Amino acid sequence: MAHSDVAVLKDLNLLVDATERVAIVGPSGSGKTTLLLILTGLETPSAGTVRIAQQSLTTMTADQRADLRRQHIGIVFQSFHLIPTLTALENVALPLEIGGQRNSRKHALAMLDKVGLAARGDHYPAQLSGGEQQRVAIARALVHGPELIVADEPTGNLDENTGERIMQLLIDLNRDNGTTLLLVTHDHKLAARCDRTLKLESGKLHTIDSTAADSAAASAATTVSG
Amino acid sequence: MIALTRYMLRDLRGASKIRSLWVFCACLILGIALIAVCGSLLQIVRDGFTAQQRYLFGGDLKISQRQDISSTQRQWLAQNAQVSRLLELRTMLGTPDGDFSVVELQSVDDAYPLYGQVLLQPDITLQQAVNQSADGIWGAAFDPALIEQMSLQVGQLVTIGDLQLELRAVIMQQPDRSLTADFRGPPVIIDERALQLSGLLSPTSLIDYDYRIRTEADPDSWREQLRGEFPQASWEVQTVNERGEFVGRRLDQVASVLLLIGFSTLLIGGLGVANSVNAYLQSKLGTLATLQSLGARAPQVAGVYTGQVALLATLASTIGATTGSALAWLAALSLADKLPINPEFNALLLPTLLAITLGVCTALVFALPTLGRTLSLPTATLIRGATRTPGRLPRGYVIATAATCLLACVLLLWFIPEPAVAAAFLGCIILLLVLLECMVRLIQLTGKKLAHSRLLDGQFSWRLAAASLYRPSGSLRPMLLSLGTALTLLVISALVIASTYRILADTVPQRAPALVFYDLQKTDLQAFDSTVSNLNGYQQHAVAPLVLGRLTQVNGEALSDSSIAERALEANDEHKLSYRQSSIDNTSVDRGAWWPNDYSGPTLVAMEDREADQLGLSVGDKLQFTIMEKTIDATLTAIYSQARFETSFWLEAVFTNDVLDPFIARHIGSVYLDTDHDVAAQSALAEEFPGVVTIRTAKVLAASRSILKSAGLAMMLIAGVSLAASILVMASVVAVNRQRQVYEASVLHAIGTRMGVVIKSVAYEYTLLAIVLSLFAMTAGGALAQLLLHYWLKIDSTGSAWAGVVVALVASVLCLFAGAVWLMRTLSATPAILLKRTG
Repeated sequence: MAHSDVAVLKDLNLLVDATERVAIVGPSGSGKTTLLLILTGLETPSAGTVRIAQQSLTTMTADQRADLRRQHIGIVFQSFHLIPTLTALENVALPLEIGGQRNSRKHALAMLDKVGLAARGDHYPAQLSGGEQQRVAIARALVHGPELIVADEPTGNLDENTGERIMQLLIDLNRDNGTTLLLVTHDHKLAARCDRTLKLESGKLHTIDSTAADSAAASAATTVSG
Repeated sequence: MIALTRYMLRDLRGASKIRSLWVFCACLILGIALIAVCGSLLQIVRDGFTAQQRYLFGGDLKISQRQDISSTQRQWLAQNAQVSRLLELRTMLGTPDGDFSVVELQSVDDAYPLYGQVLLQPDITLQQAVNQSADGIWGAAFDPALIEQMSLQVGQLVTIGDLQLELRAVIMQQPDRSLTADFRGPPVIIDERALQLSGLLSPTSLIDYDYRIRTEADPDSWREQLRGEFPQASWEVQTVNERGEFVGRRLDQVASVLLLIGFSTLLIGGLGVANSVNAYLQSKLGTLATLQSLGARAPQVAGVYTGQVALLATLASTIGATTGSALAWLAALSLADKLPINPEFNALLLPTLLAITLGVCTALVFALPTLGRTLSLPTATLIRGATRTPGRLPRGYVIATAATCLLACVLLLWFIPEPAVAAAFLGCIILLLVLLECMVRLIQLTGKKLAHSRLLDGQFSWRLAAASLYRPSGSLRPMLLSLGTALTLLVISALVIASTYRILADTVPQRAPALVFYDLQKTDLQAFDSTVSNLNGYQQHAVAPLVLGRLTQVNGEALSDSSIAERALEANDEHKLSYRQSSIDNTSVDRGAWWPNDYSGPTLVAMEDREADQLGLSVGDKLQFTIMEKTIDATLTAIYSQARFETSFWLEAVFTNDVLDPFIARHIGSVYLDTDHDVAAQSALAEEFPGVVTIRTAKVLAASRSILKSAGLAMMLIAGVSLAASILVMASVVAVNRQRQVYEASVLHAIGTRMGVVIKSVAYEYTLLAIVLSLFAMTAGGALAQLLLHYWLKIDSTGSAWAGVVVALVASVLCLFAGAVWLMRTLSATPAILLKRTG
């Protein structure tokens, strides 16, 4: 059976400044998740380059990319991707434990408290609601103080109040710590609170509202065989 | 109903691609095939013995005595039944070139055999084979075993006692050939008149006088009539029914052991069934959610998936049972020349059907709890993508599991012929499971403490590995249950084999005499001493008297009147009695104590442990023996055991000095020689003392080794099948956990863990499991093997422990290494694809 290559992203250039808040919107199947996976080094583009914190991801080994994620990036997945056999507290403590940090549980508990789940630390993911799981996933992405947070629909599963609280948490992190935010969202309110919003359509990015900056740079193009 | 059945089959269509279901089928096929092969073979052999027991026994009754019966008795027998007289004794057969071997000499009369016929090669009658030829030479027919042992040929002249005989035919079929003939000595048939001329029939010779009786009357009534006529006779009268029961009991014992191994394998396979069903249902969670959200009722969904399991179990069990029965059929055909069996297809039907039922029951017992837990998950949980099964099993499933388990136990009791063994097996299984469960909890507790301890700070891989021991859905429990049980069996086999081999290897050079001899007449004692002392390579020899006598009373109660069945049965058995001669048999006292060497006082006796235990005797009992119509009273002061492979004579009772003197007519003894002098010594002794039976220890040990080698191979083969089943189970355990572990690894990698660290944690996890499994198998297997060796085989296991340690370590490491490698290969998949697919 013959396979034909499908270009999910093409001629795509994206430059994100440190401390910038960028929202990416787009219809389903437009390649938003693929873009996030490439930006975090979880997927390798068939051509092009990705640079984060002055380092080129495309020339790194898988282990080097893992180290980069551990040190600089926090990821919030659309489907949370919590480890079902670990409690909420253990899930949040993971990035610290991987980095060999002491008092990981204490820090993890503090982060759980920030997302309003300190009392549910001993619960397993299956015992939490979708919204609670989302908050655990966000706490896990933030606990090690990353410089870049990549989030796929961070408020998609939350009610309005909780969504607002999480949104504020992300904005506070950006403002207080200078954390760069790169969000994929359908939430117009969240997008409106970002510095600029980009629309991904037919594999290309279009600026909806731009205040360009160019201290960090990324350019990528990918093809997926299918 | 039809629609549901149609859906069930349609849903199962893609099952061939699901690896876990192949494991499910393989586990059942393996266990059921083992049970079917044992069950069917037992049935065939049992049927064969039942159909031909008169041929095997040689008559309807057998009257045995060490001396001939009186003419009045002989006359009465001839008037009341058809009678055949057979005299049997062990003696030496010699060839003109000086080769000697022990044979079971049988003299027959014209009426022999009463049932069946003796087939000879060349095709002549038995009378033609044994009668006196025109030139005055008597003939003999000999067992084919002697062709191999001594290269005997038809037409050759041989000597037995003082007589020269011509070998005229090979015995191709002898209906009543003893099952122990290969061990005691191959049969040689001669005419009774020839035996009279051989010089072997002295009054003190050890000869069995057997009278075979053929009667239309009921054997038990006929025996009562005989007892009524001759109440004082000391003969042993056995009926064909009693013999049948005895053979049946022996068969049952052997079959029970084999079936136990089959059931152990099925039990291990059952754990694989549970894991496979779990893995299958995990892959069906989405389908379950869809079915329920479309309005399917819980019983309908349960019906579909329970039906699938039952259908697959029936198919797998049918394949296993048919394969097992076919193997039993082939085995029976190959044994047809050694055992009196005539395999019939009908005999296979019941064991095959019951094996299939057992397979389905076993599958359901192990699958129903998993089905119950998964199918009772709320639809909402399924739609959310449940990753953990809830703990409580619905009541309906509990009842169904218990009922199926009960049916499986009933079938187990049907298959295993000895109810006590079956009950002990069930007890051991429950005990083993309880022990394993305790161990699992202990390890989980330790794992939890370790994972949270500061000891592992900065050791992320170790922390992950320790955590995997206690987390829900971990692989510890199923792995420990399946591999733990299989490895325990393997360690037991290894220890038993290593200990017996070691005992055999140690026996030859150190303690065993080169020759042992029987039937040395008192009159030849001095001459024999002189001849032996002049043998080439002579080191030393020892001689002890051998007297035959019966134990007639225990603490004043006559054995024949005893209410204890074992004692009543022993009433007519003759025991081998002697004095304490430390150089003759290697014995050690278990209970009580030997009397001092200079003891003089009331008569004391020591008895061999197996005989004493069979009779239920204990130290201090007052015993009465009858020897040549005279009684001896003695107090039992010691119970001794014999070193099984080092002993030669199996003396059953040993008396204080002088007590047996009036009865001593023959002696037994042993000769120690330099290496490689035994063959020449045997020939020299046989030529000078033709009535003395001499046996070369090296030959016996070689035969024992050969038997042991076959037994060892069989044990290893069976243990190997068990191990294969456990590897399948481990594959199912890895399969059920693989999806979870791969997903976890992908998430860990996504949040910054190097893949090497994840793989290292898997390696550590499997290393911890291998250590735990090896320790468990070594401890449990070692303890059980020790019990078996010490109390049953009476073998010292010291020095063989290494075998258990090596087997446990190698097997567990190999199994888990294979599992870990398989898992690690899967982990190399691209995390991004997995993260997009799952969750």
